[in-house]
Amino acid sequence: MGILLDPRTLRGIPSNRTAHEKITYYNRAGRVNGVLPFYMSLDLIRPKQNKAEGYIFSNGYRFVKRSIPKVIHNRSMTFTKLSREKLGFLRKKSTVFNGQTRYSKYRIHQLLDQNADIQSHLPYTVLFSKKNLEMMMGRFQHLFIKPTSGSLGIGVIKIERKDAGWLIHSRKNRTLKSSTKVYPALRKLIGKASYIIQKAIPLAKYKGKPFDIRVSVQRGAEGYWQVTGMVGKVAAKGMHVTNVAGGGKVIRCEELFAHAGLPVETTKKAISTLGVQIALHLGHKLSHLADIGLDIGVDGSGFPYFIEVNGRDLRYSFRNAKLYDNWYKTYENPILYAKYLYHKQEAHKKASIN
Amino acid sequence: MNVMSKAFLGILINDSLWKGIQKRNMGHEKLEFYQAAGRKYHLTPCYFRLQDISVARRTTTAFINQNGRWIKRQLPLPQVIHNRAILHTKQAYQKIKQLSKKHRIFNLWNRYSKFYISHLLGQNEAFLSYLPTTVLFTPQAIEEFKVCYPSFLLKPDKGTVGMGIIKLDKINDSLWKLRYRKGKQVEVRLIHGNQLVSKLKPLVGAEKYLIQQTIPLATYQGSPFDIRVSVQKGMTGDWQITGMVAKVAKRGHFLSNVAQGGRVVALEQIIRSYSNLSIEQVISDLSRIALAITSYLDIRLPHVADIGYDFGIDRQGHPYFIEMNSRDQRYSFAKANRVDLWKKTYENPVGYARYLLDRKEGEKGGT
Repeated sequence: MGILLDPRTLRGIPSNRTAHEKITYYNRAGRVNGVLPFYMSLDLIRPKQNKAEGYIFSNGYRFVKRSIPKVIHNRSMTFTKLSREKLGFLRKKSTVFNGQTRYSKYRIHQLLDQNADIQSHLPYTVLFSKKNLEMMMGRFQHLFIKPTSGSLGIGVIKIERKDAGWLIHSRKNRTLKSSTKVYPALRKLIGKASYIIQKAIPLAKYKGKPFDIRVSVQRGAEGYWQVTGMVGKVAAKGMHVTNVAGGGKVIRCEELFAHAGLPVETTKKAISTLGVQIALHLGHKLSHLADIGLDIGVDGSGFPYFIEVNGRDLRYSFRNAKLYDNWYKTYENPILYAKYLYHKQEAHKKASIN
Repeated sequence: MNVMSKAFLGILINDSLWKGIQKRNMGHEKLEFYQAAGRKYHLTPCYFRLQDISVARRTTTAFINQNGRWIKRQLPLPQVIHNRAILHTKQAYQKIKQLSKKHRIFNLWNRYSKFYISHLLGQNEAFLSYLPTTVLFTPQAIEEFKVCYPSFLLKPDKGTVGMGIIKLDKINDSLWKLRYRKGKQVEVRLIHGNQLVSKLKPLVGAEKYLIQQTIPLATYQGSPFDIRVSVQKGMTGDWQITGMVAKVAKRGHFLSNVAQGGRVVALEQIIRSYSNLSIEQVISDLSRIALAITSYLDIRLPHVADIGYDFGIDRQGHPYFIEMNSRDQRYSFAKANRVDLWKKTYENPVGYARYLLDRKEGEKGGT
């Protein structure tokens, strides 16, 4: 089984410097389940020879050249044309799951909006434009302005209606503008990039700071979607985003719900149900999706709202919350799913030969 | 005017229409519109079935309308043939494929698998938000849909006019309502969620079925409606929107197909009842998407020139692709009292045939 990593992460393997990827967990899950992970990166694919170079672990890491594995779990991001072409090559040769790790937030919103059950859990979202901004400002008191394709909370702006105008919270500062000045001010901040405007859900709070829940939903041994774990993220003091990269803190969701006066099991159940529904729906739409990290918020009554989806879930939230079992499972499930895919393919091959 | 002075346009028809010509009863097919278009484009339509063609001699026996009278004639097989027959068998398809090497036959194949089309479109990310989730019927898929969607449909992969469709609606966490047509009646049953697979299997039988999420369709006077969009190639050889018309489900019925008792209404009239929607916007969105889908399919399907789409829109006006019909039942336009559009749906294929013939002659002249 191939595990496709970013080149930098791959090169860090022998010296154990692999950023947020816990490679030893893949090794362990591989050993337990009889799968040998082959760590690859797009720059080391040799299409002409139909081979790839990379690392395998058996009594230490060895750098080897192997033929392209039948199943590949993608954990890399593709930004250049060349890397996208190489990924395209791999897709022809092999089953690549999570082939695409980035999706436009607006496109995802549109896809989820098609599902009547999920629809009510979506904060009102439109594309950023002058007309849409005016409409949203007329309707809601708190709004988020988010880059269509961004992650880690970078570039997220919050605006808030006050008596004297609108308060704009950006990464750097806060300014108060009269309503007619909001659009030019935002334009200046975001430039020409594509942004969405989203109603800000009044998130439940923990010690006065809003929190949301990171839910890992993955396909496992039988190919079915399941919730691998969930963990809370609390915004840093005075911050408008809960992202860990933005200084947010990870706390177990049980503690957060109890603190917010929400029934723990019922709230967890509601979040799980929504998480699986979203995964199923997106899984039907986007081929070979198998591993997503969802940000789900709850309001004061425990009603869950979808915030965003991450195609490459940075699983370290579980580590930070010391949920080591869940953290390990986020590495084991893709291995189990790869094994399931492999056996399915083999069975299919046999059936078509006979 | 002597019939032989004009080129022939072949129109490949079904057995039933052939018999209809003999009995002078053409049902829904308005052949006089082909005749009028033939006069406009200087083509003589001739009508024949696949079994009337001799592949070896490249001739056919065909009906021709001469001064209002139908006569049967033996003719050389026309250069350009517009297919309006549904070919059921592989042999029929082989025969037509063989003929298409020397003759330009358009709408070669007109019974596509719904799943294949939806899968093809799903490969283009730009279309995803217009496609209801569609997968093949399997027990695992039922289990997944049960969790994911409050309502979904089971459709025969190659069904037409709404035949064999089963609708499922979730009533609560454990109970589902199942509806399907049995004879002329709509059968309604309540089923426990755990029994969905076992109860559906006998209804589906051995036929290939797909499962599709129900789109939250906008309604008109309390009934859901969808929109037939006719997209055709005309005398310029380019795709164009011929017209659109809405089909409103029969009150209390779960399908909007006209054949299922639905009625046809002008789209303008329906959109006017929605204060948040503008007719211009709805038409321009539908046209844009229909044309984009058409050019995408055009290069992936064998010679198509005439497609009837069913689109749905939700309350916000967001369009959904429901299905494509490569043998468009054009009488929806007649039912909407749009004789002009109805006539156009016949005229465009004839114009396109003219275009194909001219281009062929142009090629000959060039070499």
